[in-house]
Amino acid sequence: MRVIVVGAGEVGTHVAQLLSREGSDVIVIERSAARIAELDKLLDVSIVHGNATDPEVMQAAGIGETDLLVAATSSDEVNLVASLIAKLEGVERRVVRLERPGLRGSRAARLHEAVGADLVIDPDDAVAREVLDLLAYPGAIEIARLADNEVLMIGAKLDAGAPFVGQTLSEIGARYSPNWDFIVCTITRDGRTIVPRKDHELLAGDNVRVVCKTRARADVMRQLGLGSGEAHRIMVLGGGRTGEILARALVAKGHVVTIIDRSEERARELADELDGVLVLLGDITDASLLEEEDVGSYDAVIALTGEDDANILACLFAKKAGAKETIAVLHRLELRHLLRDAGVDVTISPRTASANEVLRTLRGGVTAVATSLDDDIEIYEVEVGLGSAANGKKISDLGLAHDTLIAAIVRDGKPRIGRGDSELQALDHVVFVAHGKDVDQLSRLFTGS
Amino acid sequence: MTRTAAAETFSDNSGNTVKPIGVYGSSVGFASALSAVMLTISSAFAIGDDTREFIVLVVVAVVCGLTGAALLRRPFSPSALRPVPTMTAAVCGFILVAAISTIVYLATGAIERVDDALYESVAGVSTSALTIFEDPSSLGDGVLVWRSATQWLGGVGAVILAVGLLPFLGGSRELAGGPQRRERTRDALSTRPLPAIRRVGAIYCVVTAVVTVALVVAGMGVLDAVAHALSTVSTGGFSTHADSIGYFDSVAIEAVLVVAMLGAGSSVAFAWLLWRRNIRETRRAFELQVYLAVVAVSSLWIWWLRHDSDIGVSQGFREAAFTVVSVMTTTGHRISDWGSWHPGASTLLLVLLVVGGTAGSVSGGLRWIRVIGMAQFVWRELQRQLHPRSVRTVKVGRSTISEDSVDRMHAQMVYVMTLGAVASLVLGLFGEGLTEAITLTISAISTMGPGFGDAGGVVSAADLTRPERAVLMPVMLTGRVFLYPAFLSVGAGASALCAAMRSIGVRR
Repeated sequence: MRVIVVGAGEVGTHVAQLLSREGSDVIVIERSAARIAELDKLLDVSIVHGNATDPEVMQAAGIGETDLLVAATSSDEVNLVASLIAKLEGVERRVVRLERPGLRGSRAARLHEAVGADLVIDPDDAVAREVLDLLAYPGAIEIARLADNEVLMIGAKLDAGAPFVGQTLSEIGARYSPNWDFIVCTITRDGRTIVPRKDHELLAGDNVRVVCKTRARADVMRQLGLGSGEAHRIMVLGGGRTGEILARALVAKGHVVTIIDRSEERARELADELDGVLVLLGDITDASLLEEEDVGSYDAVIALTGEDDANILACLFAKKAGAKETIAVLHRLELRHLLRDAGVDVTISPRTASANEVLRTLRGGVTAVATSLDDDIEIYEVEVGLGSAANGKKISDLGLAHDTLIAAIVRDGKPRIGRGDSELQALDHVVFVAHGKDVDQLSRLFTGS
Repeated sequence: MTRTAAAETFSDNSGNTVKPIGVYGSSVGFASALSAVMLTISSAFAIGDDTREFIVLVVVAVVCGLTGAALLRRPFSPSALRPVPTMTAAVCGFILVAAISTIVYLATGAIERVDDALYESVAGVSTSALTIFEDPSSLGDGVLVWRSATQWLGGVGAVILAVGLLPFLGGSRELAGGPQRRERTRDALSTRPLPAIRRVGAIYCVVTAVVTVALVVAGMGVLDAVAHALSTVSTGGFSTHADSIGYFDSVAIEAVLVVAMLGAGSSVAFAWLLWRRNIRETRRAFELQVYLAVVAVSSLWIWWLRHDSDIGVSQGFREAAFTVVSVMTTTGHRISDWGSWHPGASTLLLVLLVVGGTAGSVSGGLRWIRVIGMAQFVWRELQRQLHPRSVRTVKVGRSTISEDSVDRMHAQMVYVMTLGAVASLVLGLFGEGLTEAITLTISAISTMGPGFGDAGGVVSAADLTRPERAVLMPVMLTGRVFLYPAFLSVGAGASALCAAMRSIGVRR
């Protein structure tokens, strides 16, 4: 498959990386020469220097033979024009990043049709939604909703006190047999991620991902040693677009929200736009401000500024002061696993959520994708095709590799946890866990195309 | 008509250069022309009733009409629309109508003394109901209609000032009333003064005609209907009978008047939006919602306070609702003697009177938008004690009020308090009781008129001495032009006077 990614910003770069890792032929169009020099060291892709609104640049990138265009610059206008050019050149699918509210949603459906935008992504909005999900499951470090919200993937770090700790998977399984509500999909220990087998034991300090039926989530949360009770008072650090979207959504859900921004003009705008939110003017790393506002009394503190160090420092301070949960947005990811022990509970990146949506569009028949920054394990949801090889077979007969797992099967809206003797039928939704490199082959197995 | 930008000159059809009129000319022109129309209507009622009245009204109408026509024929130069001269010109317009009216009262023999005639005229143009006539029905028909018409003219002036001029003259557009919208550049009526004034005038005339017809249908005679329609849509409150609306004792008439007064107390922009069938926009108007809610709650509250008196339940509610609306819109129509009600009721009425109607309406007072804004302001100050670095904007409904406008709100409060304090002080010096002095002043600033007596009952002008009336005259007029234009005009007049004295060689 041939993919053009326009704009090598955070999202564009990550998408390009993900796709090239999976074997796609990726061409990146970037305007800044300085950025291209950086990319050369980072990515194994071809790079075209120029502006994507210029048809000649697009030709140089080989727009004619391309299957997918991802327009991910920070400018809505450039993305729209790039998509339009791609449509005219016969590119099959187009993903467009749009940020202005008026250009998104059903109101702009005609515009999307005109420029041929199959999928509209917005990293800021995606981050806000990710934070909202995480807040709904306090203590979890990863959340993915699958199969129309019937199946849930919860990622968490096991504390010594968690009921699961010290048990092997078969011991845990035996207690719940035969009505399994969940399955442990991956264990990450000492930086290595594996898909576990029955005799693996869970230890304190492990990062685990569990796929469960959504209605059994309370029990699974308990077994993982995670908190119950949703956060009520929330402090949002950084009043950028993400912060604004998040604060608005939280207020609408009845939370008490405080938001801090250091620009007076922006603070005023936020006070204008957000009813019922306490807007504070100040720097988020100003300890006296955080103390004055008693940051420790908040249930959750979320740092969303564009500066990683400020986000980290503010979260560390809040955690020390007593805030229950801290979430930081990080743009550079090298040191993120160190932070969890220091006091930043969750780190999220603007790039993943959008990348998941792009991957979903890339593969027909795939309805949901969850990828991780820590490893190359991906969680997919696909529909079993009528003519596929998997139709009518038991899971144990599929001959799957040992590091591939069918976690759940959803039939007629009812989820079941995957076992060796579970039989697959056409139109079932299958949630599977696999390495990125195997995903293409697997989805062909299930969809039959 | 061509116009050269540099010289500001105009040419008529035959090519002669015509000097354009400025704000003073057009103010005098409009005042004369509108007075002429009203005098003509009044004179129609004098036919067959009183020949002297008829002749006086016609003569004054002709003089006014000619003056108005002569002035308004000349083109208006809009570049002259600068704040201080425009406000001074508007105040002159009010004074001119009062002068015309004084002449009418004296020439028809309705009032004998010049100071009494002037007082009644000023009360008229400032839409106050504080009349010197104990029984107006003894007056001739033509004068009766003219008396109400002076209030109508005052109302036109006030609403043009409120919606058409002040918002464009460095005032606060957010405070001009109408539905509050987030996009501040798009006003409900117009973004330019002249079309706004034209629309406001048209709305006002149409509403007056509709109310007249409704009153006739409700059972009033034509004379009473015209007189009451004129004095109601302007929130004036002059009646043709000593007992005001209580004379008719008719639920239908009271209902029509309540609706008319409520309408007069809400911004003309709402009428404009209703006309354009923009109901959705009207529903978003937060100030209007607050205003109507206060009317409802106050009526129930006062009705409940008086529920154990010997009047019936329905009569009690009629009186409560009518009085609340009449006082809150600063109209001053009466169906019963509210001054002697339960102290809780009359105190509430006094508070409602201070606030008045909504911004952009004919009613006087502070207006609800300022109360809402000030409440937000106070809340913000309290919150700053808790969160010293919080940022918060003052909002009315969903729209934000700029910090400049918040400052102007403060200033307006201070104007009202200062004027009220000084006027009460002077009335006290003249021997009025504490209650009378304060209530009369508030009533005059809010352009209602009557005050509440200490011993119960409503204080009318007949109870006041001539010096006291002389004190109330400028207060009423200042209240009618929303205070600061009056202060600016006095300042402008004083400086003009000083300049004139210097030019004739008078030195300090």
